[in-house]
Amino acid sequence: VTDDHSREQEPRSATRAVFGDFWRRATQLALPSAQPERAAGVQQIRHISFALDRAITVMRRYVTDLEANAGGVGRSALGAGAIEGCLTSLERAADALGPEASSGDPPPFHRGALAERIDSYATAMIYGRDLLHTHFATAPDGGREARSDWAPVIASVPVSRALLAGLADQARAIAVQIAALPLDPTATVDAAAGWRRLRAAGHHLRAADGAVQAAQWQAPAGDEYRRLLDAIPINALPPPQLPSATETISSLCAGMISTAQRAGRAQQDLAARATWAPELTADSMRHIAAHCVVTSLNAEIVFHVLAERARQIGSHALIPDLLAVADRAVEGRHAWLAVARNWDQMVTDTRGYLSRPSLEAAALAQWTGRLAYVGQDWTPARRPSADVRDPAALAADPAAFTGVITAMHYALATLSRFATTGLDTVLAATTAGRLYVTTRSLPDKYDVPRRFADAPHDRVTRAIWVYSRAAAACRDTLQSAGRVADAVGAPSRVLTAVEQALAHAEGLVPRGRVEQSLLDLGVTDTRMLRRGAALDGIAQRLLADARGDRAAERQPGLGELISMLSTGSSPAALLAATGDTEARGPVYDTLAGQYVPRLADDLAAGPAPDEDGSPARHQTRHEARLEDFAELRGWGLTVDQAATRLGVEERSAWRYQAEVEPLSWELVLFGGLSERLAEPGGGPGYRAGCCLRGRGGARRARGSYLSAGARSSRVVRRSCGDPGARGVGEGRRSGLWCRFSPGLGGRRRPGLAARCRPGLGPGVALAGSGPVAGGLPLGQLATRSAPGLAGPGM
Amino acid sequence: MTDDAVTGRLERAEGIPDLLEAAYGAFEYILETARLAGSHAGGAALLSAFTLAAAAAASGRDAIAAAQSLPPPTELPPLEPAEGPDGDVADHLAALARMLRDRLTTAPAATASDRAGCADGATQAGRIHELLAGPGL
Repeated sequence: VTDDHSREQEPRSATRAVFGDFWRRATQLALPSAQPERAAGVQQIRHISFALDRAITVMRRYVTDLEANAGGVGRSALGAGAIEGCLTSLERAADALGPEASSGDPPPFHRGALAERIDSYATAMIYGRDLLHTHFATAPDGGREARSDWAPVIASVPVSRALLAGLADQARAIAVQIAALPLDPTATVDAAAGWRRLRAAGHHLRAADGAVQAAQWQAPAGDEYRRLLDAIPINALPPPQLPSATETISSLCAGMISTAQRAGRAQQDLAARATWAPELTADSMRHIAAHCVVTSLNAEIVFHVLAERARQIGSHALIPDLLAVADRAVEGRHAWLAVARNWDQMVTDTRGYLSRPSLEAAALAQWTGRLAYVGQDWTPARRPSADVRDPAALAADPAAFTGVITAMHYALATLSRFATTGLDTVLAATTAGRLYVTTRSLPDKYDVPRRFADAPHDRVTRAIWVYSRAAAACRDTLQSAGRVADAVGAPSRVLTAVEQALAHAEGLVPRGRVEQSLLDLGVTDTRMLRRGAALDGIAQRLLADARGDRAAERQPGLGELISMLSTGSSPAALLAATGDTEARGPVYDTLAGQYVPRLADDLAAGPAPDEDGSPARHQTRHEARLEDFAELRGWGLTVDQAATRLGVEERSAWRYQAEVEPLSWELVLFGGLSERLAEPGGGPGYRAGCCLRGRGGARRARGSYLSAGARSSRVVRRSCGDPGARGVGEGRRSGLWCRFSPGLGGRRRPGLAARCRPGLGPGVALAGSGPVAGGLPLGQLATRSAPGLAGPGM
Repeated sequence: MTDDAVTGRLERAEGIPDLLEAAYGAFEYILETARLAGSHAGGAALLSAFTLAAAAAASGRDAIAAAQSLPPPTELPPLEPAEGPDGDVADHLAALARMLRDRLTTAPAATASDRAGCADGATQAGRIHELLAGPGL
């Protein structure tokens, strides 16, 4: 069923089946053949009806899948009425054929006949759908659950749009052939009735095409997403392997790609279980970091060699980009070295195991090393000599050149994945209280009568910081490699398209005109699209003002404002978006103050209550500072003024108290709600942290949120308060809940909110940024922490 | 502590507590030295080796730290990582790691915790030796 001939030239590991194998074959089968179709007699009409019924059935299943993936908002993003119209038309087409079309055994088709081609089309489509379904599983609640990195890509709007467009094209192609099918003049009355049913079904197929085309007219499926759709692989990876002594450059590239894919997947799996997985050990994290240093070093060498090769073959335009990747790889190596150093003094609650990702990281270092160096038995161990490959030997011809770039692109994507998921892992392990340090490594002021102690805040902060830096450095390297892959037309361009599709996947909201216009112009740069979305938001508020529609006016969340700043919006636009004069001062103060990356200092100043409830010494000091800070703010000082009085550490620290009876709570936001992590121009990356605890008891929740890009967003929910409180969904009945919400990198807004049950006491703590129900923008929060404050719906 | 002090302490250690204490110090020393050497390693091969050796040293130290008989920390002079040509540093560390592996392998550990600590520590020391041993070592 597959069509390997039309497949783009790819290295060995990419020879696992991809959706395009079946999709392209199906598209080919849907097209008319060169031979004109004979006039249809009774048998042929029966055969075509049978095959067409199969084809329509599988088309309906595809559209139903799209509907399930997209959800309510996604359906509108795919085009108003496209899914519904298409589905309705396909149902009518099936109805038109009647139940007799699918009755009986499959008939013996004549080779090359229309019926045979439509039946083969249906088969190819079924296989393709099966392949897509390997990326999903059925969740306990009956819904679909992602099983791979590709699942969100499949469910993303651009890829769904490409799939729907392709389906429509196929339906139209089949409908045209049905419409052109002549009836045998000698046909019986029954045959003529069947022929009319076929034509009616064909008419409905045209209608299905029309429903989709109308939506495509407004938002066409981009070619890059059609290619991405083709490139979706089956969710199965080859078994782990290490390079043998007889590997060629081509096989080294292939092995590297499969190792890179396996490593990334393994790391993501582990990150999802980081709160409890026993194989998450400091040993594993050290192992990964150290091997990422080695892989970065190997990447630097390979790209230098490629640059030299580009010079030799006269591809001078490529040299700067290749050298840029090498330079970025050096930065990545330094960042990974900092991660490795961080784990020198940090341990986990389990030890001794080496996780699967750590073994894959070692394998990746080995594969990249074999590519960079001449020796067939190269290892990272000390060697008498380690000769770098000759440029001509590494990339003897253009295909080899592209192959090496593709392989390295995959390797660098995995390094990036290691960094971002490592960050998630550290955060999850921190939340679960799994990080410790050896008591010996603590300064003398600590008097801990145990061999290991909870990791102090500064250590955790440093861990977050170094992983953030590594994530930023690896992302830069990956982007540079993506540019090279684009320039040479490497198959790994799909990695860039995946990133873009995922960025869209996080934005399943109806688009404004500016953003949609950008999309229509073919703009795929996510930063530019976010700017468009921000402008759409401002326009909406302007229109709301013009209509006097105060209810429609919405204060932008802090994350949105920061997103605007990070994407280049001017302070004037920011202030305009902030709206309320009373609120925007503190908001702007906060933003301006926090824009300088000072994560380490700020987080170091944050509270870190011990599990047994006894505050450490540095927490007490911190709390005292916070009280002073809150008092200064209460006098009406701005954030900067208060910070100036107290020192810069408190600039972004906020504290709100809830005088809630019978328990008394305090919600402490430390480090500010969000802060840019990356260097200016290095892309978005933010974090927020908070601590919620009961003064009178041990009931509390703590956690933190950090996003270093769109893909590392995460949700951590904890509830506390009444013993019966079971989560955010029951917030109205719980005494207090705290929510850490994700999405600074995408459209989902950051939020942090605490609620209390009405009538419990004279006051309530409430903090929020973004459209958290009941939350308020930070600016209002900063100035209104007085008793009685309650947001809507409280 | 200098290289000689660390080595001498390891050689003189008698009994499991002493040996664990000396091993802990030796791993710390290897860790510090490998990190320092790795930060200015001239050759790519040595940079990789030093980086991986440091990770192994940290894991070895943690293995020792988990041993039950490791005595409470005592005041010790600060570590003085070895400096010099990368090759020489690697040779020193490899030799120290080999000694460490041999001592831990033959340690008369009585409790399961001590046995596990010594075994894991020996494994890591062996790994360090593999990574840093040059030709002839």
